[in-house]
Amino acid sequence: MKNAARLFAILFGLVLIAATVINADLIVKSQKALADGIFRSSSSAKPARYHLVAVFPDTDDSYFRGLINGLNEEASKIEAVVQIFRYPAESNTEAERYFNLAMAARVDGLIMFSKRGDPLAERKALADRSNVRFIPVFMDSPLDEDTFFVGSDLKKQGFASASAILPRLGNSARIGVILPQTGSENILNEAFYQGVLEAMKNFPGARVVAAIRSRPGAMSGEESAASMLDSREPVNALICSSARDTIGAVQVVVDRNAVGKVLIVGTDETPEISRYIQNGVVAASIVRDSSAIGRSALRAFSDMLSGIKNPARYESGFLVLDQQSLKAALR
Amino acid sequence: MIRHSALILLIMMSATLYTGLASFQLADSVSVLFRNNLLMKDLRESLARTETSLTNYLTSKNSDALKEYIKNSTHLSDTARKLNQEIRNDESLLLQRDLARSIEQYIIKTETSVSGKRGRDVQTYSTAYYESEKIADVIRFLIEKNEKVFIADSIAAFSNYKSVISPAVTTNAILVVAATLLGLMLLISYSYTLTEPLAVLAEAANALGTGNYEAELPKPERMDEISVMATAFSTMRDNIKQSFNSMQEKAEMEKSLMQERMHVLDMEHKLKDAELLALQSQINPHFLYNTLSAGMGIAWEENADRTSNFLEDLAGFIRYALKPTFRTVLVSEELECAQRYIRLLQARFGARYQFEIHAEESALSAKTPALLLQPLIENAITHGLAKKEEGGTIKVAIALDGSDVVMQVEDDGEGMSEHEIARLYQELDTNHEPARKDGSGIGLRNVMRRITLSTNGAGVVEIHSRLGGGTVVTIRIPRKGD
Repeated sequence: MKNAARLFAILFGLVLIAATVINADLIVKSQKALADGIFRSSSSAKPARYHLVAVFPDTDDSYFRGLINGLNEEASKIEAVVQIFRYPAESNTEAERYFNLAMAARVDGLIMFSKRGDPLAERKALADRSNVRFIPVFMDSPLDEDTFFVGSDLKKQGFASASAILPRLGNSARIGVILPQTGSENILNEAFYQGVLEAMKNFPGARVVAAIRSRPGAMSGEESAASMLDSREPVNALICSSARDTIGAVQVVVDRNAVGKVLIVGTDETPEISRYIQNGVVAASIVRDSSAIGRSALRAFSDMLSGIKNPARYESGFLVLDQQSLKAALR
Repeated sequence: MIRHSALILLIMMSATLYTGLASFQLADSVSVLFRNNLLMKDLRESLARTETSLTNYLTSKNSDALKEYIKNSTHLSDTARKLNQEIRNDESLLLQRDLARSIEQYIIKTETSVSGKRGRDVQTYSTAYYESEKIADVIRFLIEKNEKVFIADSIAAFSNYKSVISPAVTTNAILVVAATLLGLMLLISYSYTLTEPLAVLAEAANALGTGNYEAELPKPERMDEISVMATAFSTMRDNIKQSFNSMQEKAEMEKSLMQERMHVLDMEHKLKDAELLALQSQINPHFLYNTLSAGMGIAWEENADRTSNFLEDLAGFIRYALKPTFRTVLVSEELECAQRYIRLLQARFGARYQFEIHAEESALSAKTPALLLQPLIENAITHGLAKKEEGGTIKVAIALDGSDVVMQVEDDGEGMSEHEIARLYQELDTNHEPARKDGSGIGLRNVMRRITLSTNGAGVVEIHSRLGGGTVVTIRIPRKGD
């Protein structure tokens, strides 16, 4: 009896100690949960020297994810924090509100997504008055050659996209283009579209059958691809300007058993897109180095801090991802 | 026991402390949530009041409106100071900074506008006013965004907190149950630890009560009260055992002494009896002797010669026999005593027994222990001839044999076997009490003892007998001077 009692006592002692440790751990976790949330104080967050605001459209384009990653990577190197504000892609008012916010808050720098037609000069003047370094980020280069900007060149991206399929389809190419969600109202002024047309000049028989601007929403790619495949003159090539639209176009082509019959040229690199390239569903993808763009934006801010009023333009390059390059990368 | 109880209490206290801390934090978090919300509400209201008072002043240029504006803008500015001003890598803190700095810019613009109004600079105050309104929009937007972010953060924090606090509460419940069970187990264990040695001690006490001093005692595993009791009990038991042994030895000794004392008392008693008997035997024979002398005188007066002679022989024999037996007498005196006894026997038994006496004259003057022949003659009658219906002859012979005086009593009675003779000698040698009920041997042993004592062991008694052939008892003693 005595031994049994002693055994139970040891057993329960161990359970008790283990339970106490678990309990302590759980309490610590719960404390952390509160400390990270409600009890968050200025002392718990990492301090920085510079406060920047970044204003980007709220789309699910992987371009912006890369851009934000690049910003955060570089920010830690120059003791800066980047406060990200995202606005609905079509809402210029919201973009303007965030611009005003940055001016009112007198932040150290403003990185703002801009497109052709935006009042860049006015914004820069206001920013200068507010002592805020203004860094516009473009997907397509501004028309004004003198304007400083950081970004990729949509025209070049369009050119690269068309060039990825035209050698295979030649003059028989019937191309459908899904344009970026933001851009010029007149498609002919759309940099991406202009790049595609530029590439087609070497293939006189090739034609753009349809060009549709991408819309907000997850199904935009599917809708655009389906409408182009259903048009009177069906397309045999689809050029997509975003990763989301690429995936959507793939779904339609696969559903209609048109793999190989309709070539797809995508944008950017995601695990899904890489898999579709390996499977031969996507012919190629034009990968923009948006992370590098983000890093460059902060380098431009550093240059401004050091007194350079007009830092050099920065345009990111493109990488054509196809089966060959993937195989090479795997090797 | 106390150590373990303290441990359990400590664990339970820790659990309670942790739970309490978590509860306090939960309560505090609600307070913080409300505090931030109140701050935002205060900012919104303060901004609205500042805007109103500014508009009133700009439109009326009323000093009361100016005072009101100053009061409200000061309050707004003071409230804004409660917001975070530092650059920290945190969304909510950055929003607070944006808000604080926007309010600061707003105040600057409104101040410019008021100054412009007071300076009647329409362009300045109107421009500054519109700019302040634009910043006010931003401030309202930031307040709203702050609230949203804070509520989102709070919800996320609470969700996270809830997800971890629920297992904590469950764990605490398990902890309390486990602690209770552990306490019970320890209680049982220690009760057993406590009662077991007590039970053993009680058994040992019972065993001690029945005289068992070897019962097992609790082993002193540790120095607690029970061990002290067990040690004390063991010492007490050893002392009792020692005392008992000592008492037992003393009782044995006292018993032995008592036996010795009883023996002495018995001896004293026997001595007194012997003294009494001796006194009686001194008194009565004298009385008997004197009475017999008186009877002899009467018989002589009445001319009863035979009676007179009988009484004379009886009185003479008694007088001889009553004298101390360890005296030395002449053989003639011993012979005369034997003759008187024979005459008394002849008077009693008539012609049943024949007596022949042969005594050398030269031996009569020798000395001999008194009263040797009479017991031998008595034995010859009692043991040798008594059972013979025709009676028998007893011969008494006294002679000198060299330097020894030899006295011999012979009968022609039943005699004794060699076995009986050997047994008689053994009895005489070992001085044992006579085995025979008839008392034979007493007289002979008495004779032998007196011969041995008076001759320093030189005298001997010889017995020659055969079954049906009579018995010859010969006394040989060294001759002493005449």
